[in-house]
Amino acid sequence: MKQATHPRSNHLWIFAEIEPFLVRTKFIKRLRNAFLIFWLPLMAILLLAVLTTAIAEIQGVATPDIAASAEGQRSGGMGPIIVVVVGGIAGWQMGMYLKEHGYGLYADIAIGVLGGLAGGWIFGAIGLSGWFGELIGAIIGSVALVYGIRAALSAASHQSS
Amino acid sequence: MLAWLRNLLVTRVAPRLELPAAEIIVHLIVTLASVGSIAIVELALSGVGLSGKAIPKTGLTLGELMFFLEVAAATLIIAIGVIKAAIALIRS
Repeated sequence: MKQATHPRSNHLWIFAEIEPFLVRTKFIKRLRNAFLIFWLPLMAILLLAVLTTAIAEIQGVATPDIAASAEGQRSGGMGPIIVVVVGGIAGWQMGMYLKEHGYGLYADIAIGVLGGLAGGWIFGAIGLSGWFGELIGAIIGSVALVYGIRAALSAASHQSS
Repeated sequence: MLAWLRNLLVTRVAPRLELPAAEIIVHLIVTLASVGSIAIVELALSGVGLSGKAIPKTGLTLGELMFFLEVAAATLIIAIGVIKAAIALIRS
């Protein structure tokens, strides 16, 4: 007599659940969007930096090998450029989550940059200096500023309606 | 007891955790891809000898920029993944 087996009694049932999970959660679409939002800008920034340096090197513009002297800088702050980039990306991302009551993509990036600079400066002022403190400060500052402005706009529009 | 617990997990808990889990997995994959891509570029640049060169009009070398981008990308992407997962969990 053939015994009926429950699908979950087999140890490989988890593999049978993967495809329905991918379909239910729209996994591929989420993955594609995340790649477009994160990976693509990151590679664009990197490509831009590499091309700029390579062109300067080919043209013979002074780009000294500062790897040795940069060791001293590494323990210090990471500079405003990275804070601006991180703040802008964080503001852009936060703006995508809070779709209502915003001024749009460019405003979110600008607010994120401002928040990032403010967050980095505040974290430095309270003693959390160094690249890690500035980085965390930039992320927290930009997310908090974008969220705060959206929340204020949302509250204002609810009040007026 | 065990069957009741399993039933609870399968019918009540798992459907609520599906979206948060998907968000975390997606962001982990993108983090790994980003850090891996930067590492490959870094390897190629150090092979060519450009890794220690300064980017014009900045105080950073390409190697430093890539290091900062790796840290920033990993922190930002995972932080956003956790925020999205929390939002999905609250909404479910």
